[in-house]
Amino acid sequence: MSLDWRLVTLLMELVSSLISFIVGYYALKGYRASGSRGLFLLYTGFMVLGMGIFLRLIAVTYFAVILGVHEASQSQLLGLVNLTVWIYSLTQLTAYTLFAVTYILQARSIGKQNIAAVAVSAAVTFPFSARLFFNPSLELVAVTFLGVVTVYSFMNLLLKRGSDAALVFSGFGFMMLSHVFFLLEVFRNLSTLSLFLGQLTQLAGFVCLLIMLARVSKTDVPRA
Amino acid sequence: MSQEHKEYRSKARIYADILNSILKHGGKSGPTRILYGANLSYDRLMKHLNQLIELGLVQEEKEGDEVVYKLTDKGRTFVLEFVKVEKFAEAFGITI
Repeated sequence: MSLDWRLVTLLMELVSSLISFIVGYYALKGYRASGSRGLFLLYTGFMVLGMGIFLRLIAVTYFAVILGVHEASQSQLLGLVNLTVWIYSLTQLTAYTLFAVTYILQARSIGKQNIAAVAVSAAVTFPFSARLFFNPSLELVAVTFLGVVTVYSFMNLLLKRGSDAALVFSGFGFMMLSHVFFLLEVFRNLSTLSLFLGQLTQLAGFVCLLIMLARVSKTDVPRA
Repeated sequence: MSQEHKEYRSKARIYADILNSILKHGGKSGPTRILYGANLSYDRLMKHLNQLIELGLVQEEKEGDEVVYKLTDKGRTFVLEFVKVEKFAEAFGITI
């Protein structure tokens, strides 16, 4: 990937990370005002997600852009890069798990707990071919978890039929799509395009959440 | 198999319902109107109203023989913030 494209994707990641922190902060404000456990989980999830994206951003900037480490490198730094990938992927999975738990607790459905087991077994069966800055197995788990979150947000949209619920559904839907693109990175001939589309759809997802936040912030009550 | 759920309101939710009820009546209301609007018994309403007065969200006034409860600026800000939080939570399918 040329340096210009890499900078564009880094910029997109920076914006995604910042939006994640903003949404997390708003959820914290909501938790403080209402004491809602769901909002606390949402706050933790978005903060962890923002930190994960930010960590990846720092890692890519330092290892790939500044030090010039790439997959063919024999550098000992590759081990450190792999560690960063694992931390990044695990922060994302933690965040998505928290989102899924939020919805599952809200729905109080029985039997949905098996989803985690399905996601883990899907990851184990998937070919484990580590790529620089992405781990396909963990991406597959991320797609599964976000799939659950997206389905729940779609059910919420069907119930509420509001623009804000539609924006949240679109946000999670785009995030899930972004992990599908990151997953496609295993096909080397699609690598550059899928990485770019992954970052773009991830950003689109966060922008949807930001629009929802802007709409909510404009809410007013009648003057007494 | 059906399971009956009894919905409990959080303290913040009850406060918001009381303040909203006052707001709907022009920012000033007697206890009877508030208890209907907030769906509370008289005793529970009075307990919560005293807490809201202590928090500075509501102030008690006398209008002739009647006691009325008036929303303060702080109370109005609380209602506004709560409505925003509620909309935010609803967008994610969270009930508060």
